[in-house]
Amino acid sequence: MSNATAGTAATHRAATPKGEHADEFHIHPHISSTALNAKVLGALYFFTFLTVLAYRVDLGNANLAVATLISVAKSFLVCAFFMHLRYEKAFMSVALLGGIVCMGLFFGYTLNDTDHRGEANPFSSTRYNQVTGKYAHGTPEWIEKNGFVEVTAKFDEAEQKALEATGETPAEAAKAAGLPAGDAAKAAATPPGESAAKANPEGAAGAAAANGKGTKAGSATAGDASSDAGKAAPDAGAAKGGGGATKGSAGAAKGSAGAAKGSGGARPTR
Amino acid sequence: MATDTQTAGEHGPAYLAHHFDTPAQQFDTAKLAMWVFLAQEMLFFSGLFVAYVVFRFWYPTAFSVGSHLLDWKMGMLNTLILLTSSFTAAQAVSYAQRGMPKRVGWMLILTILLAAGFMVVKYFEWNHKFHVGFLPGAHFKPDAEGMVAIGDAVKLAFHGGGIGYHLRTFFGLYFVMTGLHGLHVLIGMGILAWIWVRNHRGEFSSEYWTPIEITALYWHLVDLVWIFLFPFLYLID
Amino acid sequence: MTVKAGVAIPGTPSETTDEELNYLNNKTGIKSWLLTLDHKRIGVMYLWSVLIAFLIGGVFALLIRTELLTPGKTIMEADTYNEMFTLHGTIMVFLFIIPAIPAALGNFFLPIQLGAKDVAFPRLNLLSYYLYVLGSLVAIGSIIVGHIDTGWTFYTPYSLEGNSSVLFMTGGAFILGFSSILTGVNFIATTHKMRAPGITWRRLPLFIWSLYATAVIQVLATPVLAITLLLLILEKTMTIGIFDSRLGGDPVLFEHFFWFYSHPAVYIMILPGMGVVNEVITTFSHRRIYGYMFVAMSSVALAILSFLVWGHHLFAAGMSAYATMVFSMLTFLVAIPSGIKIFNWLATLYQGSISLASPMLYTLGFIALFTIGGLTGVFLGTLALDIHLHDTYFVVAHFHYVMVGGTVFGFLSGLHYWWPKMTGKMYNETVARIAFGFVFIGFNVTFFSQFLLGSQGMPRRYYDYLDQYQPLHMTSSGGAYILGVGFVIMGAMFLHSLFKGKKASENPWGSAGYEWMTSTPPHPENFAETPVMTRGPYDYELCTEAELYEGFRSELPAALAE
Repeated sequence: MSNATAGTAATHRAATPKGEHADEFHIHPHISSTALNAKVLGALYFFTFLTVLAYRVDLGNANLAVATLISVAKSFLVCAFFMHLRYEKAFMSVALLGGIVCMGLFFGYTLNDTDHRGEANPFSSTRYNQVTGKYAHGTPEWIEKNGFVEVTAKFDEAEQKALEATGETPAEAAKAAGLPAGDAAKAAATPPGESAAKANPEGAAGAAAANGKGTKAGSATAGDASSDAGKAAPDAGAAKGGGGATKGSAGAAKGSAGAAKGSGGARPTR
Repeated sequence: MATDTQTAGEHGPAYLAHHFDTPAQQFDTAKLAMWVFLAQEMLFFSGLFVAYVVFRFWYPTAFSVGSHLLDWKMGMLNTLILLTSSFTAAQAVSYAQRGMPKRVGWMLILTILLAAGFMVVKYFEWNHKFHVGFLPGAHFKPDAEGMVAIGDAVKLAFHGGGIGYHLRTFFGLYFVMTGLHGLHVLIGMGILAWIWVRNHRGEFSSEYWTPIEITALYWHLVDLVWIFLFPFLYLID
Repeated sequence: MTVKAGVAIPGTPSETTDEELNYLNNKTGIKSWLLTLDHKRIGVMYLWSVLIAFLIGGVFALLIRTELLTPGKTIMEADTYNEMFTLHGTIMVFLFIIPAIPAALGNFFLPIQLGAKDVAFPRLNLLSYYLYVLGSLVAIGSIIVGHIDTGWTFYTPYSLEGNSSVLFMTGGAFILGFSSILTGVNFIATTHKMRAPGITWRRLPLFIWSLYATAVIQVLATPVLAITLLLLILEKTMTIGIFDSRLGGDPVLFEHFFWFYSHPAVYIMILPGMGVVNEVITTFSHRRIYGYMFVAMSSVALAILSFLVWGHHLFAAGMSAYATMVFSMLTFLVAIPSGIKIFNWLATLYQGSISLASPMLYTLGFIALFTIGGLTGVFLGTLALDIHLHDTYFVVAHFHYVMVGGTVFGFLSGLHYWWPKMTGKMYNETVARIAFGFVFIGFNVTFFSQFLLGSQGMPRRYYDYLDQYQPLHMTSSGGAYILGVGFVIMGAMFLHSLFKGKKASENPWGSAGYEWMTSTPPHPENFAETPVMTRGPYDYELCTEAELYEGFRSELPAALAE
């Protein structure tokens, strides 16, 4: 290295093996004994029974967390012992951690959206209710106490029965009909009004039609035509976002998602 | 290697590729690349898990009912089968490192058999779902038997009450997740069989067992995915 | 096409006899190319393939611009137009930009710059090339099956409607994704394990650092594209109800999935271009790069940040207000490592002995255009402003400044820079500079006018527009033709060089980079003997002029043999 002007230097392979592998001609692996592997297997069996046991006990919301924790513990055993991560160079763990961190980002940021979907104000978590035209806090507990959805439709028992036959829960019907995620719990007490099963396809069809129009009128492709459709047909009276819907459902032009929500949200009062 | 400009004997053992200097370098490189590939596999499956979590939080009732429509006993049986197969795969590596090709062969055969057992259980599960009409998405049309099962599941589910329009979403995810995992199991069986053939031909020794170790790593990943799938799909309270 | 052109170089036997052994003349025949495991030959095959893709995508671009010369129909119907811009987008993104620098130039130069004999897994490398070919054919097969008009983003629910051409295009992109992943795995393993003695992490050429960062993204983000497209295909064929809102699915979830890959993919596209710029800017200012570790780490920082900001594509998609705020704030962070790079490049130029050869011209073009593209990206990351600019020509201009002004200029810079090493031939420098003039001016005319169009509210992807936009549209189209002329001149220049170019010396630019230390074209095993590097790739102060231009090989082996 002292030869400052030297660019390259030829070396004989046998005389100077490559850099960091200098004295590593032979592999010196860690060999796990059968006894160790068997112990790990035993622990994995134990955790499997534990997770089933935990499932039989009602822990409320903690069940998912417990199941995940036990699975993480099992994964740790498999990685550390069966996959020899304990005995490997640090890079292997770094690769694994890199994957886990990326997964975490994927989960975290996607849920950041889906858990707050439809909130009007990110600081107070309020949501706009298309039925009542009011803003309210979005937490299910708050809604439970103060009421979020005004009951305007008359509860029809026959319709409720028909719904159950087609596979509806009021909660999920309401959810599908466009009420924000947090309202599902409260909506259980809400009459379903229009079956979401019926409302949704209609909404989607409407949206598809809107898309079709957008495409033909402005020749925009609906691929990501969220505002395209709005801009394409300003004359149709469709304000950006479509039909005077709020920003949350500005996707109206976007396709069936927004439109289904828009139409569903407007419908329960019927 | 096609670009070899020298004979293998001059360079080192026959299994040493021309562009590596030592077997240790070659072994380490293969293992490192496999771990990078495993990270890739994790991200591949993570898409499904993200979809799962989103819909589970949106449609808790449907997911609870749906999980009660799956047979957790079968799921647990499959978990035990896969864990055991992971053990045999790890044993195959240990025996290979000690230079015991006969035992390696037996361990590989056991792993393949356990994998086949997993697929058989899976087949019965899927077959039952098809039979009663628990199909994904738009094809979700339970027959009379399916409706009775749903009725029973609803009593156990955590919200009680309705049946859940979004059962179809649950089954959509169920089939995609278990289907892709099953595909990985099938691919793994193919690779294990190929490794068995190479082991039978006597290609491996206590000096060179890289393909066995790489395959075992893949197999453990298949096991890892199932470790999460089992409680997430079968054990929702 | 690929093979013929490659074989043409060592074709004449008279040439091969008196030349020293190199990767082109060590074996001949079509089979020696199609089944080669030599990373250099695979790189050349990749190069020809991406250039063909670029040609096809470019023709589509010119057709689009021609159609937009006038409002209403100019040369094609609306449906054809929709198909054209979809094909332009998909071909340019998946078939050209993503593989262009890493798979073509990277494949060729990564092992050479590392002093390795090949990439870690040569057979995987060849497989990845054939996956690329297969994926490309399947994707282009969508033209035959039907009419694809979803745009390159395949957003649901629109992509769930209509004919099966979407299946082919997404299937093709799925296969291309695996090609990309395998290249990434290969590069990571090669960089970690195959470095020649003396090449420490602190002496790693910055092109390698950027390829390494790229490979990390390729490995961690591309699988998410694979699962996304797979779910889309399943949704379309079997209606599983994950993205279809009629069945309780969520189309916005598709956008999350898609952009979890496709935003990092933007960095798969730009990082290698930045890597080329590092190499070229040091060579042509004959100065050590300013702040080596900062430049290297900013590549890694960009790779990490790329995973944090995908949501800024969804500001107008109905995503929660909370998430839009978080994504908007994170997006601004990207400006930091990008800024570090720009300032370090400028500092490298300061007091350097700059020669404005054609590779350097493209690199300076890169810096200027990428700065504009990057700063307009900050506009678009601003939540309130994005509501106005979303889905307008402003966005189109922004990403063309980054993708064309950045990546394509980086690619061209690298192609001009390494052409002599790859082919052993020089090209006509005067013609190259003329072509640069056309490309640079044409590019700016085309896309700067689109910034103006966009800020005035012209939505992207539209077939028809109001009369008031026509002057700017005509300007933009005119610029596109100038750009096209530039590329034709450049193509002719390179073809001329390939067949009649002067023989290139070992180090025509006088670079201190490792890849210039080997023979031209390189030896089949890159270096005749495993090199031992005793200095970094940018240590100009450690080299005399004579060593730079006349090569290191003649004197040194003897000196160190004892």
